[in-house]
Amino acid sequence: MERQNGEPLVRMVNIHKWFGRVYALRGVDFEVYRGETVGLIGDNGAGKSTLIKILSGYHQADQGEIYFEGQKVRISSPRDARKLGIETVYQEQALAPNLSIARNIFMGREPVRRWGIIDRKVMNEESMKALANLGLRLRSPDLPVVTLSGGERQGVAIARALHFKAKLVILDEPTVALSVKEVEEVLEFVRQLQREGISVIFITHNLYHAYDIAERFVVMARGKKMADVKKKDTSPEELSQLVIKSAFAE
Amino acid sequence: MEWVRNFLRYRAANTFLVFIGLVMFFSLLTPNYLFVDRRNLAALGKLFPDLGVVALGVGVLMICGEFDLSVSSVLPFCSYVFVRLLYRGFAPFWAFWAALGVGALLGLLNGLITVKTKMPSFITTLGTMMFWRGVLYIWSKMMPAGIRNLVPSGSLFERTFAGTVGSFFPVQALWFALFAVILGILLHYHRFGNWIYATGDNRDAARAMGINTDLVKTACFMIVGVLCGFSACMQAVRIGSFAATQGIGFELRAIAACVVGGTSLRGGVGSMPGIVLGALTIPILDNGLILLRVPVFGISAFIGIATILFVVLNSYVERKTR
Amino acid sequence: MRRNLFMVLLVSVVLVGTLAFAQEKKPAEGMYFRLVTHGGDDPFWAVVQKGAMDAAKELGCKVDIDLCGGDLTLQLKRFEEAVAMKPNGIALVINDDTAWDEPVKRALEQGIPVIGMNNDDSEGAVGNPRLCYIGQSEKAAAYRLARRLFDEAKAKGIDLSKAHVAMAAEVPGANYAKIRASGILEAMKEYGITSYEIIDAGGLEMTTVEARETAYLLAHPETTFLIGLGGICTDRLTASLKAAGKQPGEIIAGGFDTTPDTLAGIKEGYVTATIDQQQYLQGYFAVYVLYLYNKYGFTPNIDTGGYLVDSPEKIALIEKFSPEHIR
Repeated sequence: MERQNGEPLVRMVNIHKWFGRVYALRGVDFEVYRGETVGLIGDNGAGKSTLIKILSGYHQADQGEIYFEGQKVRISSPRDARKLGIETVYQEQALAPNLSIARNIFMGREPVRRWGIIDRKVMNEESMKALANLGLRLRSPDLPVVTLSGGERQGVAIARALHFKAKLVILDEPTVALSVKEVEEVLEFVRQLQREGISVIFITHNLYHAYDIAERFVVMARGKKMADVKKKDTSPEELSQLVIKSAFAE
Repeated sequence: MEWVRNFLRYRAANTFLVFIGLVMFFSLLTPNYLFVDRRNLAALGKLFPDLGVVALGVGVLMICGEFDLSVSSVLPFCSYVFVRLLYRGFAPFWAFWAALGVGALLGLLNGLITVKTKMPSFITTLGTMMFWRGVLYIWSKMMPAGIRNLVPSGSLFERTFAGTVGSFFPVQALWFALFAVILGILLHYHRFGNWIYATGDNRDAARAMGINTDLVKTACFMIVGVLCGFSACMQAVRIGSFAATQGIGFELRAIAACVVGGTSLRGGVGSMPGIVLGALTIPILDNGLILLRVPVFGISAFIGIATILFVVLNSYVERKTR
Repeated sequence: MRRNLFMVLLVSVVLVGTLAFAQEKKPAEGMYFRLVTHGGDDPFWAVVQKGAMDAAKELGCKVDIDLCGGDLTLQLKRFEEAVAMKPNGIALVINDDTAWDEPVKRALEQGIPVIGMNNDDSEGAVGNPRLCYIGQSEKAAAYRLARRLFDEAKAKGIDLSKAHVAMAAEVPGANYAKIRASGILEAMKEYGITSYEIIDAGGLEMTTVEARETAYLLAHPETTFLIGLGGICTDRLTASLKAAGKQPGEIIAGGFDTTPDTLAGIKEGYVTATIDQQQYLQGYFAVYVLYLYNKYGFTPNIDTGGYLVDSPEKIALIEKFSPEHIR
């Protein structure tokens, strides 16, 4: 679904980031348009995770600007990012395994009655609704997340993003360590997000998954953006070549 | 049988079942049913809260993923503050609150050191434990300081912390129950409780969801500190003095009580009912074995075996009901 | 004239000053003694320290005390460190029959006088080469205490052949517990008492001790005597007896050391007698004996006591000096 109506939803301009002496991002420009799904690909250490962690407020850029919906913004914490409508599903489990599904979905944003007491009824009902919106069928919101399959867990994380009216959902390696069937489940969840008109940034090593789901691809290597191609202008094999070439370039 | 299945789903249900088994065992098998003798239950109820109250805090802290070994020094330290203020002429009421305040401060310090240095709390609180013990040693010269004349038997203050309700129910047990209820509500029904669990279960996820995990941990350390202060005063009033040996061994025994009650050493797992049961189990084992006329020389060996059996049985029941 | 007067004044001042200064010099000025003990966080040792410090002040010497908290390995290390400092003398708590034989011998060979204090080798001078011993003969004190308790029972008409003696120890395996128990057993033999049990009170923590003593009393109604082998067990006797529902004097109780609750227990009639170890003297005489050895070579064995506290007058005496940490 291409909807490039002029102003991008998110625009990152000339982003630089150092970790001590490691120059992780060397002046990266990156944009995502409304309703668009971008595949962010590249080999290990390319800086993909770092870039999106800056968007999600987990890190701060040392140089550069971020524009959201045309306005310049400062994202200094995950809370700031979420207030803008940016939700992230992290590679390293975004969920607390021993907590229930409902408590995970509402982690940090628990619906409360007086004096901070959690409104269990609202929390459970909303959780089931959120799961249903994604097409994820689970028995009960009280199940501890650890009892779910890998695909279901990603589903819960994505349902969380969807529920909180995200405008942009970032998925960092969501299909890692999943079975073929589970990968298809996750991709279906992402398609549901697309149907809702939500922009998606999809980071992955697996070019075939990315090709399946994204409309545009941004290739990164060693902290720099190497290529920016639309899906119709390329193929998985070509992408693969791009990634390998970038890894050796310079 | 739906309610049975619902009940069993509670994490502490298996601990509860085995605990009931233990209580029945002692109730029926001790000569003359001594276990349920009024005097015995009164003695149990009077004495177990000294450690029990501290264990409540330590358990909450363990759920958020940290340990506090300094309780064995913070407790006597607060006790000494309490006693010295009494000597200075302060009313017991104010001395008590000062002791709680000191406990909170020491807890705050533990929390700040742990979150700012990012070192394992096992190490940081080991350090603070030794530090405060040293300070207390120099300050008090380890001499006992009697307070019976300052908090006379029968006075309101003494009865509030060391008296009985209805001539036999020890007030210490009531305090324990009160704290258990308050912390239980916090843990299981309050949003802060969800933050505690999230911080302990997956700190990165909690942080990513905007929870200030440093604040959560520091708050939990302060809870432990305050409870140490409370237990210190409760104990000092009962034994009628400051004793330098107050709190010895509490750091490990509190952790043991929590683990017996199903709290995970890795954080994120545990429940208030479990902690309460754990806090009761070892004193009951200790008590019951003696009542069974087991040779009391080397009774620690029996308590050790019994504790291990309890934990094994606990996980067996848990697996069967999963 | 003026100048001469000034000179006279100046000289007088200097003379008087020197005299005064000379009188300030204490007998043991410049000496350094070390007390290597296994003591720790309990009030008993605080009194020992006070005694040692008072003696140090009187003599003008420097005294250091090691409190190793029952850790034998640590204590051995401290002893070696003390020896390395070449002090004028070491007072050592000999709490093991074999571990100290070598270290003490080596110290003596290096010319450092070593005396025993507080605890001694069970074979005394035969078992260890220390120069002399200052302390309570634990066995004798325990024996004295036991006799006092058994006499009390006899006076009440209790049949001693059926009596049961319970002895509560904080650390049952420790030397002090073993030696005191042996003293009590010896007294038991004379009075024809055979039944006894040693209770592991669970360490130094007061609540555990109280819980165990109470439970024992409830479980063993045949108990006639309850004796605390250490200060903490004795301190908790009264509370345990009350919790177990016993009347004062129903069980004959006694023990060691003079904590406030123990004394209160004697006043209330729950406890019959306790031993004041007069440990102040152990610290005090340890320093003096080392000083006198350096000066004249004396090696006296001093029995610091086993002062039986069992009457209101004696209690008053203790209470008078207790706040000053002397008794």
